[in-house]
Amino acid sequence: MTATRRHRQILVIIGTLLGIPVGAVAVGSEIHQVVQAERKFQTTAITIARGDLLRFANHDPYVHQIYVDTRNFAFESDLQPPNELVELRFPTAGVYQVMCHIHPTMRLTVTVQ
Amino acid sequence: MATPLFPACAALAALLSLVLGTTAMAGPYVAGNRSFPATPTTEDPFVADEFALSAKRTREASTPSSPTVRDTEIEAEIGKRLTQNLGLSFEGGYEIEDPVGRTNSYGFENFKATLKYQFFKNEAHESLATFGVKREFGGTGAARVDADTVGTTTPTFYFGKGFGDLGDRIAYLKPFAVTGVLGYQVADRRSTARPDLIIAGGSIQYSLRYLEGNVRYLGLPEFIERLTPLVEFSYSTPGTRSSGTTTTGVIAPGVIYSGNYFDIGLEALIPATRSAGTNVGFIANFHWRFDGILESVFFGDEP
Repeated sequence: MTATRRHRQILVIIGTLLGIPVGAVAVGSEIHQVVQAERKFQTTAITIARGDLLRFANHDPYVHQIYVDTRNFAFESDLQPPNELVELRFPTAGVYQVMCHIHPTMRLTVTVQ
Repeated sequence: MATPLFPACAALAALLSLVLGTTAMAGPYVAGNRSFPATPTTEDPFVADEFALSAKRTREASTPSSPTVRDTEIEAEIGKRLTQNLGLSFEGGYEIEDPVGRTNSYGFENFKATLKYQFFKNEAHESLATFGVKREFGGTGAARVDADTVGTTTPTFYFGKGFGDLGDRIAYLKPFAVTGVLGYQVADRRSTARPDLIIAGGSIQYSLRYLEGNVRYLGLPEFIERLTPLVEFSYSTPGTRSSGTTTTGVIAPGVIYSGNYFDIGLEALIPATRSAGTNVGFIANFHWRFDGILESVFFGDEP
């Protein structure tokens, strides 16, 4: 057994004893911004890494809202007034639809790798 | 004898369902950026997966031959799409009649089923139209609450229209929307005592959510922003010669609170004709939209 593998096993054991999920550390940390304007997402699809931050910026003079509703991940933001941000992080890889309860035609496909 | 029209339509619907398959589609209550709430009094023009529960309380004034009667009706309806635009719903109710100074009468109302097909939708003009056939199965309810032994079939036209396509000079009218129904109820055994009926109804509604989301952000509290004030009306009048059946009309002002997946409506029921009584009643309605949930459970999420 190499020293690296031994160190990793020790870390996993310590993490388990302390209740820290060592293998579930976020692998991404970038920030991606999506603008909401003219009652649309200004992009229809985006690919991000697991753990990246997705930031929605309301550039409309209207209120918006953000939600995701899937079996393994659900998110409901509060109302998002003009010039305010909503931030969202996806915990697992997959393809998600981000939608707005107020504007049913708004739809953004997020691929999380 | 029951008309064979409804069983034929149900069989056709089942066949279409098998041929076309069930499709998971989002937002049957939606046309463009308009989300129509479910209205307590007027039947919706939507084909949807839905469950509705309503409670209605009215009071009929006394006449020389009968005392004042307090009437409570609890109704439930469940609807399921067979295809994206074709749906089948079932409806049943329980009624309690409480005549002052006399013994209560209670029992189930006649069982009903409706087949609907949405044949038109225009997203840009926030409009949609649906044709349906409602079948009331005579004799399935209790005679003691006046459930009719004669069944009826009602071909009905439903529509909905939002006014988001109005010009910006009258932008504050954009949150208005109307829905309506027009039907002709045919009795299985037509008589002067049980004539055919022309049934009409509609709603005029003003969505505060549409106002904040599409016209101008006013910073309303979220609870207020989710309200839709509305006025509904409902009329029926004999379409064939009748003895005793007259025009009945009700006007129902109220408000609907819309959650993300449900609507709760509350309305006063104001008699608009003499035969509708003289006292104001009320109706409360809970409507749950479960579109896509069953498909998600059985077939997984679709991106």
